[in-house]
Parts: sequence; structure tokens; C-alpha cells
Amino acid sequence: MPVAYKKKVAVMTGHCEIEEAETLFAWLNEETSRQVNLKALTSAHTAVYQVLLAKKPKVSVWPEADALFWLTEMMQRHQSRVWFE
Amino acid sequence: MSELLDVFIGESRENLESASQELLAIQSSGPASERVDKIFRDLHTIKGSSDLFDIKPLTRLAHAAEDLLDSVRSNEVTYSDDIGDLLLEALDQISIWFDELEVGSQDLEKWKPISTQLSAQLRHFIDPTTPSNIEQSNNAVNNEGVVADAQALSEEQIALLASFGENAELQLLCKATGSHCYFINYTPDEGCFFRGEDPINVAAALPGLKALEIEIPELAEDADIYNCFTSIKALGAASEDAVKQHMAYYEGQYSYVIFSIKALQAACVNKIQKCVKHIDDNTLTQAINEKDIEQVHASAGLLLASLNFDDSENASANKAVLSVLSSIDDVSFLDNESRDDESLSADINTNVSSEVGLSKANETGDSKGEASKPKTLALHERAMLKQQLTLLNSDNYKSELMFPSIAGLVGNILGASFENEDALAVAISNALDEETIQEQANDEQAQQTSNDATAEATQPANAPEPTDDIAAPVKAERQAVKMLKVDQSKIDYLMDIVGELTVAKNSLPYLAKQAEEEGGGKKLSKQIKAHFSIVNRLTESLQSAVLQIRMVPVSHVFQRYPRLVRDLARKLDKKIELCMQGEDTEFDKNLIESLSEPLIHLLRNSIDHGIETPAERLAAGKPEVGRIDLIATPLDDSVIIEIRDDGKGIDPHKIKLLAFQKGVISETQLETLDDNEALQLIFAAGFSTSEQVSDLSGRGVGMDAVKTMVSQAGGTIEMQSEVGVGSTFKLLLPQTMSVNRVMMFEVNDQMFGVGMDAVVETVKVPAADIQRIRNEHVLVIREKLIPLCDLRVALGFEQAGERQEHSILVVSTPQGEFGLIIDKFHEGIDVIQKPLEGVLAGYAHFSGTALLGDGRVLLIINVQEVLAKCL
Repeated sequence: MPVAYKKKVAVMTGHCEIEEAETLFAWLNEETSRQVNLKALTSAHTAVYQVLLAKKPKVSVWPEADALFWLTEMMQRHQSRVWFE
Repeated sequence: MSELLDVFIGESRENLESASQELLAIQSSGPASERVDKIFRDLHTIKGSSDLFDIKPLTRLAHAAEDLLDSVRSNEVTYSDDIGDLLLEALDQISIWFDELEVGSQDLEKWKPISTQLSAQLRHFIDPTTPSNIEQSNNAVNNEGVVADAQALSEEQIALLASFGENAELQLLCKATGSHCYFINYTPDEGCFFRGEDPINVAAALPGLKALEIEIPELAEDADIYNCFTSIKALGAASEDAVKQHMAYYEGQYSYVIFSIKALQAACVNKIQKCVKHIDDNTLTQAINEKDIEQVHASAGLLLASLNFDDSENASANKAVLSVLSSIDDVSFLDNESRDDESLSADINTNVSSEVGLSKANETGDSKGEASKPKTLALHERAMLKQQLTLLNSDNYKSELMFPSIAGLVGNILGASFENEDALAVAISNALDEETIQEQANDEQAQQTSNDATAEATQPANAPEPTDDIAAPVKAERQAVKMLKVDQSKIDYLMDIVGELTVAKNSLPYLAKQAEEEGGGKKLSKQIKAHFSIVNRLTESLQSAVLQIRMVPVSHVFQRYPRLVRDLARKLDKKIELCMQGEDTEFDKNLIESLSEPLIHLLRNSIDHGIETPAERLAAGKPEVGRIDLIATPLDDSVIIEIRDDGKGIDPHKIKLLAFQKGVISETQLETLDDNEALQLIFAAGFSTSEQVSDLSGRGVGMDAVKTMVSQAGGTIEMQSEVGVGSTFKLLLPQTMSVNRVMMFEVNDQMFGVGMDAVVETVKVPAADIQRIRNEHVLVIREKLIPLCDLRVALGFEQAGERQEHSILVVSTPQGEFGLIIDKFHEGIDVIQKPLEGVLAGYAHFSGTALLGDGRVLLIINVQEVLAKCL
């Protein structure tokens, strides 16, 4: 299960396919205070990123995966641009 | 590799075939969505697999066609015959390329313009407002490539870079490797998710990606999240080819600019000089002047890490410049420009831009090689530093509370003091980097090389449309399990062995006979016979199993025809509909292949001579669209193939007259031939009914050749026709040609065979029963008059002496039943018939030979030929 919905936090794990986007979007829309835990997220479909970047929910744990460093940058700093090393 | 290519070509040809079929079906019955879907999937498969090979023009063309179909599928573009024609043209082109690939004569340079042009035409249908869309964008790119090579960036390009933030050019320069940089503006269209595209991941996987900008608008709560709202800009360092290859699937959704590093450097010179002046570090300045790269690296790195920073306006620029200087491999471009500016002065502290600093801090794998403190860290110190860094970057970080403690701790470890978070972060990461730099540099290098090497190969795997592309190979694999593709020669070999086994099996009865005759006794003979029946049964099942393997549905041949009919009909301005039935009737593979040619000929004839022009048809009160039926029906061990047209039909009288004029028939025949017989004359050699020779048919060899080919395959052909109603060609073909059952008989102490299917009955009649009518021997059996032919005469043996009783083999031919007078009947036997070869091939009265169980050769008689000579 790539996304586990708890009371306040959605825990995203591994690769999140496009199918997750709709549920996640609806879930985040239900209450603005809801958070996401990206600790174990390794990658996701654009549609999922799109939800995360558009909604910018509070993130309880940032992704550990190096590959998602740009996502952290964008969500943490509310900016749309990231430089890679 | 070539095996892979073979498989690819083989499978793609099937895809092409089915795509063209569907296209034709659409043209005749309108664009059903499932048809469009099918074509789309076919092309998608071709495109996907083609990317495994270095055949970009083909991939691009397939992709353009796929895009067009996608638009048709989503009703953005209305299907028209023009689109169909163009798609067919594209399929043809791809097929031609496959031909070239197969023989290895492909010339990608020649492919390119064709591909570009066709793709542009295809895309023109998708978006008519931008005709030849691709060409334009390509030209634009090329032009800009030229500008960039001229060592300067255009205003436009500088503006583009500036849109990526202040000092973007410096940042890019300090990160760039290779000779060229790119800027991509990738705006996926809304529906792209439905095509399995994944834009952000595609962009994130761009080669040499340096910076990414993702714009997503505010989403309303009821927004459709399956629409793509994302737009992406990316900066990176890679060659144009690499970028184009990476984005090959997203043609039309992105635009890009390529510029050379040199041009980028040129654009940065002023800024760098200004900053170097600003920083004024003697070592650095001197190093730059002396072009001592190592020294430049070292001092820039040192400055970067150690200087005190404040928030002066030049902070980010200075930081970026130092980064550039600490990693650049050549400073001569600076030197050239800055000769007149050598007196560098002023004492200014350098500042570090937070953005870059932190991005570095997160990436421990930094290989830029900043030369900084030569202090080695103990393990626990590293761990502590890492912790501090995490703390610094964490969400909960509160500058005023935590900075002093972190700065103090880090300061203790590193022996330096810090004034702000950014400097601290940089110092920590540098210190950590220093430690890991060696091993990681090694690792990275290894990885880099392997990445480079496999970059092309892995392109399709890690980039576009992951869902679909992964699904396709999986599907193929599953099919591969069910369907086994075997080289035909292997089956043929198996067939040969089975044939020999049949022969060997046939020797058992001889053996039984021998045992009986030479004192083995009845018991042994009986046992052998019992075994024979077992071996016989097994051989027969083996035989039919092997034959079954060779059976393929007749659709293999039929499916080529709709295209042929359509093309010819267009050429002749006729409207023709081809209806096929019984396509799943099975046939021996070899037979099917030998059938293809004659069938094409017959179809051409029907199209060219049979079906009238629409005007003529309307005048004759027929529907405007002509109809050709192609029907295959199994009949016992044979298959009947009918080609029926509703055209003008053939006038037997005209045929007779023509045949007479051409000397095919004599004057008496002109009188006596009935209509049906007259019609069969068109199969006679040197006969053509068309008054005008066209390039389609009517060269006067056609029907003759058809008949020859059909009889070579062991079949017969006949035709029926009614003037004004249409003509029908009927081919009767054996389902398999490998094993024949023949009836053996003896003439003049020699064994001969005759195909069992021709045998009607065998009778022994007293010599007196044979009568003579007008110099012909005849026999009346059950009130039926049967002409007789003495095989001794026909085969050129001596006449036998007077006999009391004659053995007569009654055979059926298209001309009726005939009796062959022979010496002795023998049993029926299964044989593998081999055609006569070499000089023997000229003897038409034998249709082939077979090997008997005792090693003798059995000549098989071609009844019709023998009778034609004899009567």
C-alpha cells in the first residue's frame, strides 16, 4: 500500500502510482491541517507530485531518498525552482 | 543483437500488417474507436521497441503517427481519408525501412529527411495552425545552435537564463560539464497522463540536468487531478542529440535552446571579472593571471569555505563566481578578456548564497573538489557534523535559539567560527565532503562511465511512459510462452524424418512376407504384422502432428489483399469492396505461400477486367461499389478457395472466337465447345482477353501461369462466369501436400502409383467385355460408358499378349471417368511424394516419385497428362 491514510497523516511509501493522486487530493482537500509523511517515498507519478506541489501540505517527515531532494526543496521553501548538483 | 533486431522486425511487421488492415477496415466501414485503438497500440509497440535500436527517424515517424492516432482517438481530430492515406504512407515507409534494416543497408541520413517530412505532415493534422511544426522548431534550434557556436548568447537566451534566477548563468557554468548546455521549456498537454506520460519524472531524468523549475497553478478542490497542469523548465548540460533523444516521445510538447559552454563562458566573463575584483584575494588573482588552474581551484575553494559572509548585494554572485572558479578546468577565456583589467584591488568579504550553499549541503556526493581544510575528521566528529547539518536543514530549526550552539560545536570541531547558518552549513558539508571525496569520486567516476555507456540503451527504460512500455514487453513475453516461433527449416527437417520413418515403416509388411516365405513361419510373420499396425498408428499420429504444426490459417495470405484491392481500385478509379470469409481455414504453410501469387493474379484480374467503373455499374443498374468475395472453405482433405466478383462477367463466345484467332483451338472445337469448356480456355497458354494491355494484368501469361502454379501445388482451378453478373474462380487445393496416399499397381513388371483421391474403383473384367467404338476401347460398367487407356501403350511398353481378364483402374478426372488398363493391382501406401528433378522434370506424365519400403523407387503417374496423350 503506497499511501496509508492515518488520522492526520498520509504515509507515502515507495513509488506512488498515478492512481494514488485522486485519493490523496481528495483526502488533503477534506481538511487543510492534514499532513504527509514522505519518509519512505522513493518516487511518484507526476500527478502525485502535482498534488503535493499544488496543495503544499505540511510535511511531517521529509523524504530520505536523495532523488527527491528537489521535492523537499520545492515544498520546504515554497519555491518552484531547484538547482541540482 | 541481430537476433533481437530480427525479432523486432518480425514482430513489428505483424504490427504493421494489423495496423494497415485496421486502417483499411476503417476506410471501408468508418472509424470505429476500437479500430483506432488497435492501430494506436500497434504503432505504440513499434515505436516503443524501435527505441531499442539506433533508428531514430523510424521511432520519430512512428511516434508522430501514434500522436495523430491519439488525437483521433480522443476526438480532437476528425478522421478523414486523407489521414488514412497518410498513415498508410507512413506504414509503408516504415515497412521499407524494415526491409533495409533486414538486409543491413539502412542509411539513417537518408531516412532523416523522409521521417521529418512525413512526421511534419502527420502533425499538421493534429495542429493545422502550425503547419510543418517540426521543421520550424528544428530550424529554430539549428539556427540557435549556430548562434551559440559563434561564442555569444543572444539577448533572448540571456533572458531565458535570467528567468531562472539571478546568476543562473554562473550557476550553470559552475555545474556544467561537456560542451553544450540546454534550456527546455516542457509544457505537457492536459491529457498526457492518459497516454502514460509522466512529465516530472521525465524532466528529472533529463541528461545532465542542473536545474528544474516546476510551475503548478493553484488547484481548485474540484480540479480533475488526472489532467496535467504542470509546466516544467529545465537547465542542464548535454548535447542536443541527447536531449532530443530523451524527449523523443514528447515531440510537440516542448521547445528547447542549445548553447555552447563557450558562449556561456563569454556571457559570464564580465560578472566573473567584477567579482574577482570584488573579492580581491591575492592568491586567487595571481593564480588566474598565471592560469594556474590548480591554484585557482584551491584558492577559490578556500575562499568559498572560509571567508566571512554578510548579506551584501553581491553575495550570491560572488559565491557563484567562486564556485565556478573552484571547478572550472580552464581560465584562459577570462585571461584573454581581462588583460587590461589586471590590477585587482579592494578588500571585500565574500558572501555565500544560501540557495546554492544549502543545495550543496544536502548533496554529500559533491565531486566538485573544493580544496578546503586539510583537517581529517574522526568518525564521531563526522557523525556530529552530520547531525548538526540535519538540524540546520530541519523544519524545526529556529535560528536565534539554535544557531549559537551549533556554530559553537562545529567551530570546535573544525576550528573556525561562523556568523550565519549558510556559512556554517557550507563549512560542515565541505568538511564532510573532504572526507568522502576520495571514495565517492572513485565511485562516481565508475558510475559515470557506466552511465554514459548505457545512457542510450537505458533511455526507454527509465524515461517515458513507464506503464505502457513496461506492459508491452511483459505482454510479448507472455505470448512468447504460448507461441513458439520456430525456424521453418527445422519443421521441414522433422517432416523429412517423419517421411523416412513412413518409408521404414512400410518395409515391415515386406519383412513379414519374407519371414513367411523363408521359413520363419506364420507366427513370426503375424507378430511382425501386429507390430506393424502399432508402428503404423504411431507414425500416422506423428505425421498428422507434424502436419498440424505446419498448418497456418489462410488469413496469412488473405490479409495482404485488402490493401492490394484498395490500391488497385484507386489506381483504376473503381470502387471495390473485398469481402473475405473462412480466413481461419487452415492450410499447409508451403501451400499457402505458393498460393499467394496466383491469388494475387486472380484478384488483379477481377479488379482490372471484372469490376466495371462506377459509371458503367450505375448504368447497368448495379450498386456503384463493386464487390469481390474471397472465400475459403474446407472440404474433406482439401480446401476450396473461391474468388467471386460481381463484375461484367466473361462472354464464352468472345473467348471462343479469340481462342480460335490465336490458334488455341481448332475450327471444329470452335463449333463443339460448350460455354463452360469455352470459359476454361482462358487458362490455356498464350491467351489474354484484354484488348488493351495494362500494367496490372493482361499480359497474356496470367491465367496460364496461375493454372500452372495451382497444379504444381496439387490443385485444380476452374471458372464460371455469367455475362453481366460476374465471374467465379474456384481453386481446389489439397490441405497438405507432404504425405500422399497412393494406389500401387504393376505394369510390365514395374511398380507405379496413382493418387488415391483420383481412384474411383478397381475392376477385373473379361476381355470380351471391352468394346470398341470408333477405334477407341470402352467399357460399360453399370450402364456407364468409360473410355479405356492401355497404360502399356501410354508408357511405351511392349504390348502384352492376349489375356482372358483385364485389370482396370477407374480414375476420375475433370473430364470425367476413365479406365486405365494395367497388369496387376497392389495395395495402397502412404508416401512422401518428391517432385521430379533435373532432366526428369520434363516428363509431365509423372507427377513425382516416392521411395518404397524395400528401397525401390515408385513413379507416380499424372493421370491427366497420361490420358491427354493416350486419347
